[in-house]
Amino acid sequence: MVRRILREAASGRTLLAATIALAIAGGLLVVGQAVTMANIIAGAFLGGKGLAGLTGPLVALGAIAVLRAGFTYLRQISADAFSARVREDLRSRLFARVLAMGPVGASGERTGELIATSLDGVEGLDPYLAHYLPQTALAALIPLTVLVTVLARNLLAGTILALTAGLLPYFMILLGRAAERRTQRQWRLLQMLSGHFLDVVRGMRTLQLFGRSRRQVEIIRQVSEAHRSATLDTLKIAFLSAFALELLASLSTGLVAVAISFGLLGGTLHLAAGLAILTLVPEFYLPLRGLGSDFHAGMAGAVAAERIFDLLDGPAVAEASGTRRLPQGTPLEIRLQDVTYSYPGGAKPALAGLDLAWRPGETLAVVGPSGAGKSTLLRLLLGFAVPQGGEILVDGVPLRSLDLDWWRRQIAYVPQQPTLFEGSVADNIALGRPGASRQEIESAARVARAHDFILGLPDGYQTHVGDGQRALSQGERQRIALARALCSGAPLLLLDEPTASLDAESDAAVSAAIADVARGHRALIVAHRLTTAERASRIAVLAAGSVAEEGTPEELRCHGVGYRSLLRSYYTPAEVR
Amino acid sequence: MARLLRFLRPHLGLALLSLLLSFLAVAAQVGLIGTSAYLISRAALRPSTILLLMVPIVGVQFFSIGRSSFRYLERLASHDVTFRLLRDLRVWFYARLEAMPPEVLARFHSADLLSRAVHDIDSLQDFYLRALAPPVVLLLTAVLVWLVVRPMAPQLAWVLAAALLLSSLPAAWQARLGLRLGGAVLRERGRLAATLADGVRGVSELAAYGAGEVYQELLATSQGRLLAAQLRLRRHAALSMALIGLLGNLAMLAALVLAIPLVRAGRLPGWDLAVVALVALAAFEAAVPLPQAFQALGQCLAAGRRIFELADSPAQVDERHARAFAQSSPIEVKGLTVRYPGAKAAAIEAVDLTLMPGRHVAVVGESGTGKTTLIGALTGFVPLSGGSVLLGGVPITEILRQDVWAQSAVISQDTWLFNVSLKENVRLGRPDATDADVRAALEAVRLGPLLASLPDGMDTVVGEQGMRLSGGERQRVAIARAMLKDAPVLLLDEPTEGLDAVTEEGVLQELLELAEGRTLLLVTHRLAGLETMDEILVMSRGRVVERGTHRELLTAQGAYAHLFRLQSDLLQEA
Repeated sequence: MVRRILREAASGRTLLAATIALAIAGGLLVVGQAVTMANIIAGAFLGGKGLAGLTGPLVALGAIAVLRAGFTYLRQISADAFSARVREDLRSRLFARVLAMGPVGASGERTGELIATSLDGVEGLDPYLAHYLPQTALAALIPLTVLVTVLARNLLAGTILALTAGLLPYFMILLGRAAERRTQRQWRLLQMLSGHFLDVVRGMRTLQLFGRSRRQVEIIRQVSEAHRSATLDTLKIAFLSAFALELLASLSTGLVAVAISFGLLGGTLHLAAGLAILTLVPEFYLPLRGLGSDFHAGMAGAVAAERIFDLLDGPAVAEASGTRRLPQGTPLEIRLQDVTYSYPGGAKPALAGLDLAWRPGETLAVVGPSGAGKSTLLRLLLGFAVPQGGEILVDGVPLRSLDLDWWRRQIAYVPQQPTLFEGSVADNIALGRPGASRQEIESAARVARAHDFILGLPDGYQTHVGDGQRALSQGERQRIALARALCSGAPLLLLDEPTASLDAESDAAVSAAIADVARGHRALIVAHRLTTAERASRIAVLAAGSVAEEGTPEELRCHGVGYRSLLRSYYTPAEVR
Repeated sequence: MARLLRFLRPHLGLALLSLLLSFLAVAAQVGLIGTSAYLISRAALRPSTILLLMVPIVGVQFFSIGRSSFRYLERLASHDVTFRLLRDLRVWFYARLEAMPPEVLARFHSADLLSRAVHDIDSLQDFYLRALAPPVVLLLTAVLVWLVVRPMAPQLAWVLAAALLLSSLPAAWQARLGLRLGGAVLRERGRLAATLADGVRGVSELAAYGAGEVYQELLATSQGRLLAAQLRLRRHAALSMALIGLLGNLAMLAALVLAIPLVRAGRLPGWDLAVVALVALAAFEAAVPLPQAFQALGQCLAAGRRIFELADSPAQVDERHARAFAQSSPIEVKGLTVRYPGAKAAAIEAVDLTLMPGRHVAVVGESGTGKTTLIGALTGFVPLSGGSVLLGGVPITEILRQDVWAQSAVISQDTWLFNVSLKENVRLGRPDATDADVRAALEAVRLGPLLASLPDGMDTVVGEQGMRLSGGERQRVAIARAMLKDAPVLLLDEPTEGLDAVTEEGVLQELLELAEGRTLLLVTHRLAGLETMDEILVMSRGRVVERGTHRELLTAQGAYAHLFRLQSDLLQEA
C-alpha cells in the first residue's frame, strides 16, 4: 500500500524530498544539541568552569534551539504542502476518471460513493500524507544518525540500541498482524455506527409516524454499548504493539544508562560522551514511537487509499472511440439495427433487438412505460455505452468506428434533470460553445423561453448559479438547459422530457419551450407528455426493450394498442374513458 | 463547558483514573531521565563502592517499566471514557429530539440542522481524550517539576514551572486563530462538495457537450481555495509546534545558565546539573499534545454550544395533561391558519374541512399553495397559528402525539428510507408482518419485478437514504410501508410523485382500493382519478377557492375547470 501511495504521489516528490531533507537536518541538530549540552555540563561539573568559561557553547546551544524550531516549522509546512499537492492531483485524476466513466459507470448507487470518495476519501489521506508518511521516513533516518553517533562513543550502548531497533520490527509484525485486521474491521464498524445514528436521527419523523421512535432510545444505547465493549477488546490487543514499543524504548534507555555508568566507572567513557548518549536515546526511539501513535492516521489512510485506488483501477471505460469523421453537411441518418444491451448485473436486457430509424428533418418521439429502454437508447446514442449486439449506423457507418468527440459535437443533450454548474447563467448556456457571443446566448434563451425570467434574476445573465447560490425552479433549470442545447449549435437534439410533473403553469412553459426548440431542429425526444409526443412527426412506442409500434401520431391513435393505453394513463378525465 | 463536564460525571472515577495514569506516564519519563542523569553523573565521580549506585539503577528500571505500563493502561481507560461519553451523548440527544414538539423537529429537519448535530456529537467524543486531559496533565507536570527541582534550586523551580505553563500560550493562540480559519476550511469544503456533486450528477452533460475541461477548471479553482484555506490553518499549527519545541530547549538552556553559578558557588552538587537540564527537557513531553488539545477544546465547545442550543430551544412536550380521543371519529379543521416564522404571507389561511369517517376528500392546486402544510397540521408537524384541528372533538394540541400518529398512515414527500433491508423498511409499517405480507405490499405498488431482479430479494439493503433504489422505487417502498400499516385514516401527499404514467395509474388504483372503508385525504396537483371523491378542495395561495365534487366544479367553470382544461388540452389535441 505504501509503495502504491508513493507511486501515486509522484507529483509531490520534490516536496516529500524537502520534508525528509529538513527532517535529517533537524536530526543532525538534535545530535549537535546533545553533544553541546553534554560538553557544557561536563565542563561545569568536572571541569569546574563557570558561565564565563562556557559562553561559547552556551551561545551555540541557544542558536541550535532557534535553528531547530525553524527547521521544525519548515518541515511541517513542506509536509502539509506535499499532502495538499498529492490530494489535489489524486482528486483531479479521480474526477477525470469519473468523467471518463460516463453516466453508465457513475450512475445509481455509485453517485453517493463517488462524491464521498473524492471528497472525504481524499481528505482522509491528509493525516497519512502529512504525518504518517514523513514519519515513516523519519523512523528510518533519525535513528540511524543517532546510532552512528552513539556507536562512535560507546560500543555497548550502541549495541543495545542496534539490538532493540532490530527487535522492534519483529515486535511490530508479530503484534501488528494479529491486531491489524480486527482493528480495521472495528474502525469500519464504528464508522457504520455513526452512520446508523445519523440515519435514525434524520428519519425520526418517519419513525414517529409509525410509532417506532421511542424504542430506538434503547436500541441506540444497546448498539453503542455493544460496540464499546467490542472495540475495547480489540484495542486491548491493538495497543499492545504500542506498549511493546514503549516498553522496549524505556527499558533500553534504562539499560543504556546503566551501561554508561559502568563505562564511566571503568574509566572507558567520558562524562560528556555519556550524557550525550543518554540524551540521544529518547530521540532514537521518538520517531518509532511516533509511528505507533500515528497508528489511527495510518489505519484510516490505508482504508481511504484502498477506496480511491479501487476507483482509479476500476473496470476499463465502456466507450471505445473510433477515428472516423463524416464530411461536413452529411445527412446524419441514424439507424439502429437489432440493438441489444444489458447493464452489468442487470437481470434482463434493457434493449432486446431494437430496430429504429431517425431520418433527417424528422422529430421522433419515443414513448413507453418506465423500464422500456428509453434512457438506455439515449445512452447508446450518446456513446456512453456500446451495443452488445446489433449495430447503430450513422449514414451507414457504424457508430463505434466514429470519433466519439466528433460525434458528440453533432449532438446537444437535455437530460430529465439538467445540472447547472457553478458560474453565471450565461456560462451555463454557453457550456457547449465556450466562445458564444452575448447575442447567441440571448437568442438561444429566447427560443427556450428562458430570456424573460433570466432578465428577472438579480444580475440577469450574470447571475451566479450552482453551488446553492440561488435555487432556480425545476422548470427554470429545464429551460436554461434547452437554451444550452440550442446554443451549442449541434445538428442533432436529444431531449429527455422530465417525468416528475412540474406544477401546471411551469409545465405548460416547459412544454411550449420544448415545442419551440424542436420545431427548428431535428430532435429525438423521450416524451412523457402527450402534447410533446403528439407534436412529433413520428412516434415510436417502446416496450420491454424493443419497438412495439411506430407511426405518425394519427396512425397510432387509430391503430396503436400500446399507444392508446398510454394515452389513457397520462390523464384520465371521464370524457375520454 | 459546565454542561459538557456534567456528561463526564457518571464516569468520573474512570476519567480521573485515566488522567492520573496519563500524568504518571509523564512523571515516569521525567523520573527515568532524571534518575539516569543522576546515575551517570555519580558514576562519573567513580565512587569507591558500586552499592551507592544500586538505588538509582533500580529506580531507572522501575521508571522504565512504569512508563510504558501507565501509558498502556491510560490509553485503554481514556478510550473507554470516550466511548461511554459518545454513547451517553447519543442516547441523551436522541431522547431529547424524540420528545420535542413535532413542529420544532420538522423545522430542524428542513434546515438540515440534524446532520450537523450528529457530526457535532461525533466530534464531542474528543472532549475528554483530546481536549480536557492534556492541559491538566501539563499543570500537574509543572507542579511535579517544581517539587522536584525546588530542593535543589528554588529559583530554577519557578523558571521551569513557568516555562511549562507558558507553553500553553502559543497553543491557545493557535487554537483561537484555528477556530476562525477552521470555519473557512469548512465553508470551502462545502463548496467543493457541491461542485463535486454537480460533476457526478451532470456527468452525461459534461461528456455530451465536451465540457470536461471546463469542469476540471471549476474543480481546480474550488480545490485550490480549499487547500489554500487548509494550508493557512496548518501554518499556524506548525508555528505553534515549533514555538513549543523552542520553549523546551530554551528552558533547558535556562536551567544550565541558572544552575552553573550555583554549582560553582558550591550551593548545588555538580551531579544535579545534568539532572535539572535533562528533567527540563523531559518535562516538555507534556506540552507536545497541547496545540491539538486547545484546538479540540475550541471545536468541542462550539459543537457543544450548537448541540445544547438545539436540544434546549423548545420546551419538551408535556404529556401529563394529554387527552384521549375516540379512534375513527371525525377530523374537523376549523378556520385553520398557518404562518411560518419570518414568512410574510400565511402558508394556509382560514381553511375549513370535515373528514367524516370513510369520506374521501382531495385537495388540489398548484405547488406551493399550502397543500402539504395542511397535511402537516393534521399530523402535528406544523404549528397552528390560528383556528383549530379537532380529532373527535378534542383539539390536536391536547392529544398525545403518539395517538395522533397511530390512527393515520401518511405518505409524504420526505418519507425516510433507512439503510437496512427492503423488508425491514416495509415492515416498519407493521412490525409483526410476515414475509408474505411484505411481498404482497411490494407487489401492490408494482415492485414485484424489482424484487425479482434484486440479488438478495427482500433482504437487499437499500443503501443510505435508499440510494440503491431509483426515486420512483423509493416512493413506492414508502407507499408499501403505509399500506401495511392498516390505519383508519390515510393522509396522502402526492403519493405517486415521480412515477411514470403507467405505474402511477396502477398504484393509484391500489391506493383507492385500500382507501375503501377508510378516511382518505389525497393531496395532488394532477387532476387524475378525482371523479369518485366525495369532495374536492381547490386551493390557491393558501386559501380554499372552490369546493365540491368533480362534476360540480366542472359546471362551476372556476379555477378547477381552468386547471382541468389546461391538463386535458393535451388530450384534446391527442
